[in-house]
Amino acid sequence: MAALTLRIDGQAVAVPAGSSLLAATRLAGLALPVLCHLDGLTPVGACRLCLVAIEGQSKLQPACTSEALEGQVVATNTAELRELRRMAVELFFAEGNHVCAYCVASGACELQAMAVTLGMDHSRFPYQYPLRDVDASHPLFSLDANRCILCSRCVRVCAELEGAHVWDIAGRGRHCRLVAGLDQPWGEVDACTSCGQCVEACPTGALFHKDDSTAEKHPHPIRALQLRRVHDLPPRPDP
Amino acid sequence: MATVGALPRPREPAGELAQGSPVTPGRQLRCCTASGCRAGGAGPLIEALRQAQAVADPAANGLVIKSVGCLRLCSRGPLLAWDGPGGPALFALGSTDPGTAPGAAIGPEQARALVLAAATAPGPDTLAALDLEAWRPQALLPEGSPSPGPSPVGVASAPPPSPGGIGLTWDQMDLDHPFFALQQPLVLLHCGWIDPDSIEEALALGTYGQWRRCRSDLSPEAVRAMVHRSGLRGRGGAGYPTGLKWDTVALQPPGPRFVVCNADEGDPGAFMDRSVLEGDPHRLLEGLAIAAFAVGAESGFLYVRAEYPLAIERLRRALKQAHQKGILGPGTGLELELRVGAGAYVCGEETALLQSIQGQRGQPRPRPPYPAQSGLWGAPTLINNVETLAVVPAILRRGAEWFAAIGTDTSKGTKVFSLSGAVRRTGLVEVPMGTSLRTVVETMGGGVPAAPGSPGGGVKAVQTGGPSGGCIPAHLLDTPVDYESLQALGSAMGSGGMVVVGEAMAMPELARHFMHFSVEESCGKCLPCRAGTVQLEQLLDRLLAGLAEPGELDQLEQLCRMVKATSLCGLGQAAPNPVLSALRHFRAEFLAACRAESPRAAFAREPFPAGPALGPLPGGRP
Amino acid sequence: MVRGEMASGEPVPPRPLAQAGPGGVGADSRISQLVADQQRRAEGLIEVLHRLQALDGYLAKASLRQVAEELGLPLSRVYGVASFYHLFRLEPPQGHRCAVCLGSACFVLGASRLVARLEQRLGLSLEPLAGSANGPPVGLGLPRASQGGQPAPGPGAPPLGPARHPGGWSLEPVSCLGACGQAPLLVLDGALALRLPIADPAALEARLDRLGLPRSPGPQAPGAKEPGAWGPELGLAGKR
Ligand SMILES: Cc1cc2nc3c(=O)[nH]c(=O)nc-3n(C[C@H](O)[C@H](O)[C@H](O)COP(=O)(O)O)c2cc1C
Ligand code: SF4
Ligand code: SF4
Ligand code: SF4
Ligand code: FES
Ligand code: FES
Ligand code: FES
Repeated sequence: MAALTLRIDGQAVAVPAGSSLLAATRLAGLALPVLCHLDGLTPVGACRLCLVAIEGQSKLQPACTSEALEGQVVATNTAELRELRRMAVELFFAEGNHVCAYCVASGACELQAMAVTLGMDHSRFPYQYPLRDVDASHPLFSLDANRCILCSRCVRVCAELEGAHVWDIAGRGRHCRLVAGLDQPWGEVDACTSCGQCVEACPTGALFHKDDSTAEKHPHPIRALQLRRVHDLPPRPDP
Repeated sequence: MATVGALPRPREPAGELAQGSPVTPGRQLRCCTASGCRAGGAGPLIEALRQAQAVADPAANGLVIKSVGCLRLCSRGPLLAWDGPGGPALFALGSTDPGTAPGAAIGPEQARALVLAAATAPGPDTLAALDLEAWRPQALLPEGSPSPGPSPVGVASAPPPSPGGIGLTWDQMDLDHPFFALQQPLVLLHCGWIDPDSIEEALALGTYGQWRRCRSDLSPEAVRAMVHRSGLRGRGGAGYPTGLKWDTVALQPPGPRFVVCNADEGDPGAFMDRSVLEGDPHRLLEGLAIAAFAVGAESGFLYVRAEYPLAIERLRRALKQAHQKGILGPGTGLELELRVGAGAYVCGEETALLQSIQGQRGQPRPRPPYPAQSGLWGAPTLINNVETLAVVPAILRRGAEWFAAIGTDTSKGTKVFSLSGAVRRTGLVEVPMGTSLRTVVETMGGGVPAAPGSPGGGVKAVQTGGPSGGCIPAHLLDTPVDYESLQALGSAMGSGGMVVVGEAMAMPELARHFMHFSVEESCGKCLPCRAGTVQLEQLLDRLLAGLAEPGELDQLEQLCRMVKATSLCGLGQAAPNPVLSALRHFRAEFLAACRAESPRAAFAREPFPAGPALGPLPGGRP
Repeated sequence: MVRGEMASGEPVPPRPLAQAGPGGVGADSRISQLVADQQRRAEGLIEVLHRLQALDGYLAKASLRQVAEELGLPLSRVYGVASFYHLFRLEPPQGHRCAVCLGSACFVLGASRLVARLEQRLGLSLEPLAGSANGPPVGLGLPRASQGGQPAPGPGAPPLGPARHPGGWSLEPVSCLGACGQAPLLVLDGALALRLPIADPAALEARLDRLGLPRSPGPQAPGAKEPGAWGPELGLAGKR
């Protein structure tokens, strides 16, 4: 496979042609915050945390959906980017109801980790306290929409890997929410195979195993391996 | 038989429209039945006129009564244009009851009188002198006497309420007024002249001629070169050079391609594209066909917003006629399909539009890849705005150099604007690029009239570019209208909506209005736009409620910049523009809206934010 | 490239689920026909929903289920689309619909004051229900100063919003009806009411009375008039 070289944060890196900028950044040994991205799933560029500055382009670009190109000069960690990311995480926290102290995913939550990494200890924007539901109708799993950040990882893992497409995002704008089937209780959706991949894919405590309690949601060892297998496949040909 | 008269004041030597052309000069009444006038009752009006002609004496037989697209001065609708000796002339029907659509209130006798006068008047003056009041149903009843029953709602249903009737006015419009005289119709050349439901009239004026020429005499490269040289830029908002876009699509690796016409015109206060669809749909179809030829596409889509039922109906009919004539459709190398939106502003964004055509949620995706590289079903797809496509036949017919000579260095040709808001004359204007805002808003539009009981009128600002644009304060009205000048002022050309703001409107409130629009229309895919616009609206709410401190303006600006820099698509990226431009030009108003008292005192006074509205708890506990 | 394949970046079209097929048990043959008219292509979903709504006035869940099955689409995908577009209604329509234009032209001419009056008369709020399930944020609990001071519901107050008015009225915003020249305006059961005299409160009240709008949120609601003869023709009945 043809290789190409680019500079990321001053560091030269050679990557296979067709890699995403995110893959290239990781190959360079650098970390980039991501929330909506999950290796093996179609990238959507929705959370905007992986935005990077590409020299010669006025607009910031999401690394997860952008193709690495020969000779690019990329900055992933400028003061401006850090501030934008911090504001984004504040908006995430203000948008839903995140009470980490009681959360099943506390300690294993990607949103929480992001806040810690970016040094965000409170939101400067008023909390919105939306009224949201908990759906405990599934025999094995539950959905607590209060913690959902609408990253659509569960939607994609279920549609693309499991082929069941139980989930989708309904509504629009601030009314967006995750729905199962025709806005039904999860337990009533026949298409669900109870494979649990959506639970594994969820970066927060929104989807969890019923027998987990506070701070007990941990990445499932085997599922993680399964997902990683998919991501070790050659990079998707970017159209 | 095609029937076409003369242009109002042809600044163009529009030979094909000149009186005495083979397409009949005769006497005719052109009734505007486009949406603006339809709201004024144009539907019942043309019906009444046709019925009156059927029962009138033979003298009226020579008169042609036809339905046409927008006649420009929509605020005075329903409008009727008259062609005949000394014509053309333009008339407005009005009613003395502001709540009644005049077109729906006309009585049979009045319609008869009008038809007879139009058929026999020796000149416009005679027609202008027509006294409709003399024919008012039961004209003896005193003016304004209450009509019986709950009937005459906003617009009464036909048949009109007969007892008492409604007072009608009949005024001649001055076609030499700058509103008409300064227009240079290119896109709207035939709009208001031809019956949009008749392909014969369109053909008689040469529509589809360039499409035919393309296929017989021109190569796709030649067509693209011509569009290149013309300097045409996209009229949908971004102003991307059209020739360049066509080249990108054409030069993709071999395989299927699509063309798409973006007729989703979602900016509130914008109705240019609708006028083309409703007034001259064949011109658009020809432009789209030429585009398809130039990029090598064999199928295409027209995506029209569902809120334009009349445009959809006329476009559908036009498409069917073109199929029947063998101009488009099987055997012509181009299949076109109409797709109707379902009420989502964001579907005007090109990647969202493609999703919607494919039957999906209209959520944008990151670009690149651009639709020109990967669009519908992964194939290279050309997306152009209605106006962009509708001007292409004229470029081919008159030549790229002729087109490039109109307008400014960087913005060529003409642009259609829809003038609305507090301005005196609202309607459609097509002027060369580079015309100053003052010319459009004050000279043509007549500025803002003084409200009764308030000192002086006057333009406070002009809002261009809709929810992605900004406002331009009155002292900058001499700005020429072109892509760069408007952008330099923090606004945008957008699709061509021009909403005139009078002194009565507070700018922070207008900013909140647009932010609310963006909140409602955000697709919700990406965080900054979904959650950020909500916070921005709340900050503006606080400000309008007098609860904000001056320091919060910084927070407002900071969040604006964040949403602008990080949103996925143009909607989020441009949503802060109305706020930023209002802050830039009217900062004093924002500061004045902030509270003055000490933060501590205010804090003590300030109510706690309300929690969610919970009903009483079960068990009767409070 | 095959038609039906998705553009990149979006989930691959799912395989058909339980295939009821046209004429299955309990299937609505009208829906089967609508789906057949679109050659059973998934891309025809929006068109099918438009026509279905034209038949029934709204999109019932049972109908959505049949559409999904016959088009071979996942239920959630169909629900996602139906709930995305404002023109699709998932609830049966109200008895009377009053829609106020809040497009820029109408807004600049004072439509927000009109809204405040209508909200008071109907006892409804134009803003979507505060605190509805996953609904909009409760916000700051501010009075809506910009719209004439109708206070937002405090804690414990019954939620405003698309709650049913006893007379069966609903109040909704529309964005520009293209009648900007006759602004400000509203649409009552499909008929336009033009050039409302907002600057003159007495005249405005009189006009609203004549339009058949109830004077107060009580249940009395005088019978609203017939739909205008040309309103539906404009398609306004279908606006959100
Ligand atoms: C939120 C949003 C709404 C848009 N709405 C429209 C629209 O209603 N009509 C339109 O022609 N272009 C619209 N555009 C611009 C299109 O994305 C696209 O640039 C345009 O159709 C390209 O055509 P042009 O090159 O002929 O201008 C919109 C863009 C955004 C970001
Ligand atoms: S458990 Fe599996 S099939 Fe069920 S919703 Fe989650 S991913 Fe889909
Ligand atoms: S439930 Fe979890 S995975 Fe699904 S959208 Fe919400 S946060 Fe993302
Ligand atoms: S910017 Fe707004 S409209 Fe565009 S993708 Fe993001 S949420 Fe959707
Ligand atoms: S990870 Fe790239 S945008 Fe979310
Ligand atoms: S709609 Fe009739 S003049 Fe514009
Ligand atoms: S803004 Fe109300 S009709 Fe256009």
